[in-house]
Parts: sequence; structure tokens; C-alpha cells
Amino acid sequence: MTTEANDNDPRVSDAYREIAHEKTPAGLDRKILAMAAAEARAAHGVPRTWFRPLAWAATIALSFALVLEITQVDEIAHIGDVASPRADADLAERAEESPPPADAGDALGKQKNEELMRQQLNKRSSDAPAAAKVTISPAQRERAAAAEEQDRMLPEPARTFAAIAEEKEQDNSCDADARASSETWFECVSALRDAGQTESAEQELEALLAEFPDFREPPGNP
Amino acid sequence: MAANAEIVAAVSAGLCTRPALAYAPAMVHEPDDSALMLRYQDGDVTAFEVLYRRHKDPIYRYLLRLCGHRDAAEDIFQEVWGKIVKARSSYRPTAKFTTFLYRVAHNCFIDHVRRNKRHAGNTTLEPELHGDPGETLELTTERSLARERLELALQTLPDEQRDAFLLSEEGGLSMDQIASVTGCNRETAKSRVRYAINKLRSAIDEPAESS
Repeated sequence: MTTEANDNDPRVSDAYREIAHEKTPAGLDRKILAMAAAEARAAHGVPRTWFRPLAWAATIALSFALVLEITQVDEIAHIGDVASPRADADLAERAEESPPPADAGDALGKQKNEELMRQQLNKRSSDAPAAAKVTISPAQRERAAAAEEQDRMLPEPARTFAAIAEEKEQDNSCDADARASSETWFECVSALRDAGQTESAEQELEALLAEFPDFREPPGNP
Repeated sequence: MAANAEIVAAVSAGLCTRPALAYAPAMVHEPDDSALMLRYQDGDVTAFEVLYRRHKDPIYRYLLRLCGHRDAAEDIFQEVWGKIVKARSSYRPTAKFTTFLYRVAHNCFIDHVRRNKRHAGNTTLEPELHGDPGETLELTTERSLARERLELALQTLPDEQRDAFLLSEEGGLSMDQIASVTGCNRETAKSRVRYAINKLRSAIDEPAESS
């Protein structure tokens, strides 16, 4: 043998080799090989009986889930284009339950309505796949149309305070100081005309003439 | 010559890879033990057959000389291979397969000793007395006596020394591997082998005293 211990004395190794000739009995070999074969069969045979069907079932289930997922994603992506009768009907019912606020200029009421509509839109998005599968009856169609009409009659969405303030800044009418005398009023009208706001200028001129019937436009003005 | 012919035949058949044959020409590409075990792990029974035929005789002789009883050796041998078969699913080629195999055999022998306390000093092995046809009667007798003395010296070695010597001779294990199998450090393993060799050499060189 070639180990570091007995390299120095091969005689011992050789002498041992001369006496060590025993071989395993053939019966023992057969027994062990049979045991190994049986064990391999048992280990690889049993799982194979259910591995394959399980693998097929898992593949089919995963494929189905994937297709379903893709379909849902497509439907959600096109939810803006697809009308959802059930969701519209819900919206109509909600609208009936909560009539528009008495004061159309009430910004809070408008905001609440807007909020409600937004919630309904979100719900419509999440309900879309289910709704798409529901068959639409004529009655439902009528209810949906009624709901849409109701929507149209609802007050405009509330403007924000900033928008109102901005609008006020852009108010083109002449103020009380300008309307104090016919001359100053007309100067204001002229300024509006110069600014290109002819419509406002005409309205102010009419008001001026109504207030001061004796007023005559200076010559050279259109 | 007959022995050489037998060895060459065994190598040609791919059934024997003992380190003593390392100088033999690499005529047949033999798969690695770990690779065979992994193939068996995947259900390839023929891989196990190759592995078994490669190691069966050295491991049998190791157990036979370790416990000194053929019946006991066969029982332990069967137990060892049963454990190898059962361990195939959890087998990882982290260490050399030979080390793994001999560690299993060593542990099985230790278990056997614990179960049967009577094994010590009660050996039934008898040396095979056969000589070459061309030898004179005197030479044959002398060789037979030498074998007998060696066998006797081997059987009278302390268990640890005999174990270490047999792991070295039959398994071809290095000192580190012997230390790993027997659960001692490298220096201890080395000294055990050295003591064993010294005693066996004395038995060969001084026939009068030994016998």
C-alpha cells in the first residue's frame, strides 16, 4: 500500500497481502445487491406514481391562474372604455338616496358629491371583471340610463377657492369708483376696449347709457 | 505470477481499484466513487453494483480481521452496506467516499463490540496455507509459518493499532483519514500505525521469538 506509514517497510505490507486473500461470499453479494436494488426501486418507484399526476395538475392550475390574471389585468386596463351597468345602477341608486344639495354654490356639498363619485368609480374598477360576466337586462339598461341623466343634472363639481379667487381677479367689470361719473365710466369702457375685451366693454357701455341717458360718446370712438 | 494475472484480470474487469494497483496502466476510465454514489442516489442500481464490487473485498477483510469471526464479519458487513444504501438519499460528496465507507464500518464494528462483549481474544481465523507449485517443501513450510506468525501477530495487536493498520492496508487511507475514521488526532493515528508495523515486522523478522 502507498500510505506514508508503511512506505518505509513494504515487507510488512507484502507479507500482509500474502495472507489477505479472503473474498466476500457470493451469497452475501447477492443479498446486498438485491437489497440495494429493492431500496432503489422503493425510493424511486413510490414517488413516481404520484409525482407525474401532481406535476400535471400543478402545471394546469398555474396556467389557468396565469391566464385568469392576464385577463383581469386587461379588463382593468380598459375599464374606462367598458361601461359597467351594475356599477352604474349602483351609482344611480346612490344618487337617488342622496339628492343634490339645495344650494348649488355650496362647495362642501359639491365636494362630498365628488368624493362619492370617485368612490363609485373606484368600486366600478374593482367590480369590473365580475360585472362583465353579468348579463344585462333591459330594466337594468333603463336604470343605468336614468342614472346617467341624473349625473348630468348634478351641479358642476365645486370649484376650489383658489379658482374662484383667480376668477375674481379676472373680473372685467368697472368698479364703483369708475361708475361715479359718466367720464370715468367711459374711460373704463375705453380701457376695456383697448384691452380687447369688447364684450365686457359693450356691456359696460350699455349700463353707462342706461345710467346716464344724456351721455354721448366723444367723436372718434367706435 | 498467478497473483499478478489475477490482479490484471480484476483491473481489466473494472472491479478493483485498490491502491496497490495504482501503477497499473489506466486502461479503463473508472468513475469516481462519489459520482457512482450520486448516480445510485438517482436510482441507478448498476452504479451501486460497480461501487460495491470495488470496495466489497477490502471492507470484508477489514471487518474479518477486526473482529476475527467470519459470521460476525458477515453480519457487520451486511449492516455496513445496508447503512450505505439507506444513506444514499442524504449522501453529499463532502468527503472521500472511502473515508465515509470505512467510518460506517468502524462504527458498526464498535456497535457490534458493545453488543457482544465476548469478541475479544476469541478469534477463529485460520491462515490459508497454500504455496506456489514450483516451491520446495521447505520454502513452502517456511512461508506458511511466516504467514501464520503474521496472522497471529496481527490478532494479538491492540484493537486500536490493528484498526489503524487495517484502515491503512485495506482502505488505503491516509493518516488524516484514519484519524477521521477512528476519531483521534493525526499524531495518534500515525503512532498507532507505526507501533502496529513495528510489531508485525518483529513477528516476521524474528520467527523464533514470535512463534
